[in-house]
Amino acid sequence: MTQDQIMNDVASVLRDFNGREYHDAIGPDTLFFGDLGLASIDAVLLGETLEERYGRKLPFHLFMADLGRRAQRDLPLGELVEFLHRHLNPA
Amino acid sequence: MIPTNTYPMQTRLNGCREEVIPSSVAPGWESEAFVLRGDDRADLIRRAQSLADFLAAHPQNESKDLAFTLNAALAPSGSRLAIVASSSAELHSRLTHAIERLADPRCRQIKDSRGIYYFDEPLHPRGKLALLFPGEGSQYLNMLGDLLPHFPEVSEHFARCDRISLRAGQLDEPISRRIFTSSSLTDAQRDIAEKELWRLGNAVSSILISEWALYLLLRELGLPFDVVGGHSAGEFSALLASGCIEPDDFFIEQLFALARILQGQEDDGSLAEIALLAVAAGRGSVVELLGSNAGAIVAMDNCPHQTVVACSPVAAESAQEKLKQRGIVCERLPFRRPYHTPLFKPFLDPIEAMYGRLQIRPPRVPLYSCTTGQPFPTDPEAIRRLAVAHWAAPVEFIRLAETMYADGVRLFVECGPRGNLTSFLQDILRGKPCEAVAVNLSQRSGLAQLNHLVALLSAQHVPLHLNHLYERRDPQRIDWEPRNGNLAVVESRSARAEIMQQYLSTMDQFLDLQRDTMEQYLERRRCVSPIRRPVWPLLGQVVRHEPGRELVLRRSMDVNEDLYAGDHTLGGRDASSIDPTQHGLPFMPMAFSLEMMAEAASLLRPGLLVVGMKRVRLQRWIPFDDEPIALELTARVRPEAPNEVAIEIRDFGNAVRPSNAETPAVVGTVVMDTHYPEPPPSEGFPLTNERACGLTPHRLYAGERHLFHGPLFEALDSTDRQGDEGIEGHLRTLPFTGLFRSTPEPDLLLDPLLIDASTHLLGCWHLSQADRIGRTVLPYELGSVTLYGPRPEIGTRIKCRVRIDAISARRVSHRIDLIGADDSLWCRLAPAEYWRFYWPLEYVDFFRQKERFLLAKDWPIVPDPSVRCLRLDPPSDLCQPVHRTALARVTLSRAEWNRFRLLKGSEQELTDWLFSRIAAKDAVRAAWQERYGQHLYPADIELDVRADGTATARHLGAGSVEKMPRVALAAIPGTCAAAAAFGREVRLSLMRRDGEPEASVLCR
Repeated sequence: MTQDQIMNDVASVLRDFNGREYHDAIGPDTLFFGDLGLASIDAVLLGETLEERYGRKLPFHLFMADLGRRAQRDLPLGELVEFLHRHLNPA
Repeated sequence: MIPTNTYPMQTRLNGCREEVIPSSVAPGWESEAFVLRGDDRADLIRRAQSLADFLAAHPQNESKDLAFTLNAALAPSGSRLAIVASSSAELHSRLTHAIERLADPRCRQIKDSRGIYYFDEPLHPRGKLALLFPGEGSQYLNMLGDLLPHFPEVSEHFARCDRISLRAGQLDEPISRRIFTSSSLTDAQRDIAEKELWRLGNAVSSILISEWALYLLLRELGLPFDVVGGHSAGEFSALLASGCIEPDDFFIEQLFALARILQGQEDDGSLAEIALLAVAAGRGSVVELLGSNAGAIVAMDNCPHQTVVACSPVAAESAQEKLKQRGIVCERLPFRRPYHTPLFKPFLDPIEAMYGRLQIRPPRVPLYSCTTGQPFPTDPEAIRRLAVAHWAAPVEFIRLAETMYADGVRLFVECGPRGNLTSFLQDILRGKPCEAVAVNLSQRSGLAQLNHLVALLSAQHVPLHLNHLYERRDPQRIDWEPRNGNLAVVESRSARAEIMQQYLSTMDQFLDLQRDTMEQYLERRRCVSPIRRPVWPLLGQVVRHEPGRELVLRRSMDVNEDLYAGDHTLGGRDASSIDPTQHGLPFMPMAFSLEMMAEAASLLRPGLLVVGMKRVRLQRWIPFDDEPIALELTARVRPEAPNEVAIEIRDFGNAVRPSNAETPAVVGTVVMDTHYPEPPPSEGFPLTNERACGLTPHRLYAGERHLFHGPLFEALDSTDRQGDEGIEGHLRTLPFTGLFRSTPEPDLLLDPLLIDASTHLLGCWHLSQADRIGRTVLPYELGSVTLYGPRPEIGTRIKCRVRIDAISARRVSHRIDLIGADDSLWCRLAPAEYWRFYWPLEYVDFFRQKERFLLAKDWPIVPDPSVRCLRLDPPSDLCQPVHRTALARVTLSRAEWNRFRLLKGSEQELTDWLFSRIAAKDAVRAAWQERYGQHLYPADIELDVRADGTATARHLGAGSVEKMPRVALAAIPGTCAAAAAFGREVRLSLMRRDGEPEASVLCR
């Protein structure tokens, strides 16, 4: 899967996610917390939703742990897409 | 009152102090919340389209003004769309999107993260609203820092806690220094500051201080809540909000003391060291997974996707590994306290002792426990036991949320930083019709999230006092909505002509009927005898009288004779707890000037009725003095108009208070006739955005003392309705007894009390406006006064309508109608022109309640918390002689007033003399209040000021000086300052450097 395809998947999930809509453009620079107004629990839920979508377990615990260690805790979606791309297309 | 937007927050940067928020000017808002209402969904779409059209045509409009225009006039119920946007263009774009969605009947709600909110079936008022307070773990660096410049209640609370933290000796620096950092910190410095904030003592106190500051903000916004609850340490705040514990200084002192003890327990290693793991899974899964892991205890059951477990550090390693293998997200929390587990039981003593010292009352608002998930008991001892037990019992947040939901709660507002509870609630109640929203998020600016909160709650029909968002921002109304007249343009010409013809025909019939009614009415009025043998109390001595041509009178104005003046005092009433007769500066009401003019004209032209006045101009106010002042009135019949008498009133003052009598203080023309004019037909008084008046006569006069009138003038009977165009209420004509000492039953031509009371209603409209600054209004001109009959009988209820005709930065023009019981107009004042005065809000508040509010502001230039240093920059409007004198009347003791009254000097010297003493009294009052919790009136404190700027303060009630703090004061043009301390000698010097005042304080 290409990063663009994954970005489209993520955007379509977040367009109407957990009772909240988002109708602006969603791209790699869109911020999970700041722009989408989501919370860390939502990140866990998003992980579950994406696992269902792709039909496989993904090591979100690693991704989230890294997120927690950063001083700037917001998440540009591009980073999530990169993570997904890496694990959906193992070398 | 500590002024907030000048409170400089101390922050941590390399051990040096740096002011992060130094400005007294609040920065602009990056976004606004716009709430649009329609009578129903179709009307909402129509109005949204009108607004979008307006924005397209006027892209440069000020967002703040448009938001204020929409929100301040928000009527209840209906259909609501709320949008958060940062510009007109953004608002237009979001409106367009919302209109498209609303046009689709399948759309039941819009909840767009960008800030678009609409609900077909709003949750309020059918669902209850819960206020929830988070606990430790919610704190983050600089939380609420961006709200400080905008909301005085927030910054005042931080300032108060800073003072208490230092005074109580619990901290070696203000608590705010642990919260606020400079934006220029390096990552390493930031890590250190963050670790410091997460230390147990700082964590508990900073979180509770911050959430109470947010609670105060929500209170100002008028958020109605039905139940409260708290998560972990947040239960303290819930106990305060429910009314179980008084949120006073004592509580804050106890909080700091407890925080220090808890920190000590952590530092000395007496607390069992444990690890806390936040596991992204439900309690059942976590227990199942870690059940065999010895020592893992559930400490917090937060939501289906988060359980916090406590275990030993060694066990934590294996638990994390086990969770990792199962792909479960797990985070080790940055603290290691075993609370909410049985391991904490041995350490409950200080918490129990603290609760033992606090007075506990049954909750006024239902309070839910996060230990049981059920409502708290109402017995104080049982409340105490359960609150203490919470610290060693798991946090049952899921149970609390589910119980609240079962009890009818549908809206949850998280009153604290970060927004953790909101996420938990969304997870717990997923799929159920409810809403959770946080006042503050760590990932959004404070103002942006506040706008989202306001927008979402407004769309859910929660009533809010949205004016609070604009009180210090000088908003202007925008005329954005097309009038009916404009809409009529789309009608065809023939249709319009037909409508007009029908209208004119109806009006003809109406006027015929009115004419008949009026003729009968006038016939009845003409029977009233125009000649009276009156006792006119305001005429005084006749100096010269040429009947039919000219009259000159001299009247001595004396507070001992003109008793009404004592109930009409600039600066308000009740300036002392010792002397109940000490009020502000008595001055002549404009309505009494009108009465004086009417009496003089009637003496000069006997046999004629006073039917009106023209161009009455108050060129100077006429203040009374302790000794009588002399007024001279000249009345001349105008040769070209024999029924008009030109009047001039000159104020000669007295030896102590001389006055410039070369120009008259009041001029005007009295219009006389044999008959009263025919009143115009009665007309309606439609009001846009009509709403009830919150300010009742009781609140205006006695309750909150918004008006400066005493009982003799309290003729406002009811405030009925108001809208954008004005206000309507009822007055009651009062007896004239007690107005004059020598004339117990005066015979007044007009009814000056009634006319004066119409201005109380006028003041009520201004006080109800969101931009409270600039709402001190005083009259200066009446274009015309028209009387359509003799004054109403005493005891008559009179309808009063005040219409706002024009308003600018400095002036307001009104039309005032006084209407009798038969719905006919008795008197019209139009235009009634008023000056607007920009008294700072602290002065407005002070004049209302002088014991409660300070005029000087904290000037934290002295690191020693036992020294209170305050600064007072005299505002220009208050330096005008009359206003300054009024201020002196309510801040000085009798002896000081007698000195000030006789003082000779330049305007600057008089200003410095007075304002430096006010600053000194405020420093003494602040120190006293802090130590003893008592509010003192400045006029009850007498200062003995020495040449070196030091002073001895004496409370006139106690008479003793021993207990009072010592004080020093200083003044330079534009700035006064004072410092006070108990039991220590204080010296203060003040200078200006590079245009900025600088003070140095010596304390021994």
